Amino acid sequence: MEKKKRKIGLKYIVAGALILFFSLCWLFDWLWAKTYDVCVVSVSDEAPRADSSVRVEIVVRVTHFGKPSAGHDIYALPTAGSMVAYMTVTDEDGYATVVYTPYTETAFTPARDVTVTIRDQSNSVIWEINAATSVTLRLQPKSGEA
Amino acid sequence: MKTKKWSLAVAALACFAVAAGSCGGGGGTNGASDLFVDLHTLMPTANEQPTPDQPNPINASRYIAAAYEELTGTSIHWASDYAKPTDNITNIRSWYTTQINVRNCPAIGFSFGTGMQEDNLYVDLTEYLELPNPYVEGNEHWRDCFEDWVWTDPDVLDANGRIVSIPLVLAAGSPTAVYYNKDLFEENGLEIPRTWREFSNTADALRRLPGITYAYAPYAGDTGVSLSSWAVTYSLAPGFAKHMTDRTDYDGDGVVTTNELLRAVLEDEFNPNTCQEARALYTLAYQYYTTFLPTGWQSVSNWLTPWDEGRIGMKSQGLWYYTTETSDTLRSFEFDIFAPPVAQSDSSAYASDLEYKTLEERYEAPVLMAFNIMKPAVEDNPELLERAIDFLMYLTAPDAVTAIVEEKGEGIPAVKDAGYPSLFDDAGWLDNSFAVINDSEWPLGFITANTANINAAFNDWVLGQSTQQEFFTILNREQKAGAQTMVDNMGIDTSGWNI
Repeated sequence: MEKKKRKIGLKYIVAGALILFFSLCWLFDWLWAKTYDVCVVSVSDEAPRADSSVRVEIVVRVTHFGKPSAGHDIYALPTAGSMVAYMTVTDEDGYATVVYTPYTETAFTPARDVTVTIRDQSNSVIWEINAATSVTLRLQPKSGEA
Repeated sequence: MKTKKWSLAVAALACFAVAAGSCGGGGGTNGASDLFVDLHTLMPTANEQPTPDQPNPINASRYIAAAYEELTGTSIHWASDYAKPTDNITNIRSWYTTQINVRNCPAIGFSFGTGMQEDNLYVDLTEYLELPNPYVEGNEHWRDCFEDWVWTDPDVLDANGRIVSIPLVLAAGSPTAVYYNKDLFEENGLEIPRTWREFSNTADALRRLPGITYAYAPYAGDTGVSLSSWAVTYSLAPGFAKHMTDRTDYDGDGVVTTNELLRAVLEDEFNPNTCQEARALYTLAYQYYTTFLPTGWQSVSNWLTPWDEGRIGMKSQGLWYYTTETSDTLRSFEFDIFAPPVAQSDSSAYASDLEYKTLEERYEAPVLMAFNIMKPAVEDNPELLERAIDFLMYLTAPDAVTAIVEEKGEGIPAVKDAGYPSLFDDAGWLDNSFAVINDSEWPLGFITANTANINAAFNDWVLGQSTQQEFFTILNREQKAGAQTMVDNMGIDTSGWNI
């Protein structure tokens, strides 16, 4: 009986240690991500037409303690519409350009706000916790009427 | 204890109710105000919001169905909720067989247009195309909403000359493309090849370059030796089929239908023992697998790394892969795409030169996705048939097709006045001229089992396990058997045929 109790106690200790270890890893990565800054430098058109022939260039810059992060993978994901390329890489000054393509407004897909989330996929060490930013584009009806 | 028993009884009843709901013919998915729909890869994905794993969820059909439900009170049920496969006709046929057996067949179905025509499962839609589409302003005949060439496409017109599917998406010129290392081509003065001969010469030149492991990587989905492969279907066969049109286009209308192909096969026109075109095509296909593709190509599981490292000159991929390719940050060079080269008179005296057209010159793009109304679901239910026709009409209104085609990004609309994915413009793809190949389909076994036997025999020949003559004998036997089965199953009138 005593042996069984000890065994159960050991299991809890191991489980607790594992949870603590993974939590610390997560905390480290979360804090590490905070040391990176992904900021939107410019957006070519914040209120584009809801038309798939339109292109919106979004320039972002990634820095780490104020210094440019070169060669970082940048991933952009819009809530609607698509990106010309979902992944790109920062240049030596930490800049990267992603290009958004709106969907075309139809009776089923009216013009609405779209949020493009841009993540630095290279800053994470253990968990996939990425420094990120986002930009909201206010898609306009094709006819130009608000 | 008693409570536990009651709980079990209630749970059992609930399970029974769920099972009855999903299997009850005509009651669950095709009930009085229901419509069971299979839109293949256009059905809504489980996730509505984009995720890194699935950045392009399918929502257009979700929104269209919601609007239709609100307008008509009909409830749309999706075949994707019933584990409908989307990979190949064998698995799709198997799924439909099961659904028909449990009396839960979708009213609107997908099986690559006419992929199951020999099973007589499709409603003849010809008469409905004369009705007006109420969802298109001023339309008098539904047929007029579509590009006019689609009605003779082999995915739409069955072997009995009946229109059995409604097209929604067409190939954007060609459904496949050759992705190539643009830097490598420019540095070495290589031209974009247009014919198969030019393509072979380009591959030879690439093989001689230092650092090139593979001149060409076949489509990753073509994992085995097969006459149904992309290379044979889109590149090797069309010129040979064109060369035979004086013997296969019986009515001389410039279009070789499935009916005419069946007749030609049964009249011995495609017998490789006597048909020079067939003999030359199969020899070219044999050379493709034995000398053109790199040794051991079937065991290469990772083409991506050598491609990213610039060790592959060209690779075959679908147009749908374009965005994935642009997002490949590991690729160390610029890429571009060109239309698959086609074997023509410079490859063989038995292959014809093909006509080339741009989309602006009204290139007759082949049908990529077309949808049927399934006889087993609607034959005793005229109201359901009417509902299915009505939803197809709603789906083929220009706004609906624009939303579907732009979101999917693989093709262009089959209806007039609808938009297309603008990423094709970024690639300059739609400025290309494409070989007109949709009127020159090369026959294999017609029936899945016969085609499988032909491909197995071809594989044996390529691997040196049989001779060319043995392959020709099996091919001729299986092709004729498949053609005869289709003729018998579909009750095709063969009077006037020399068989």
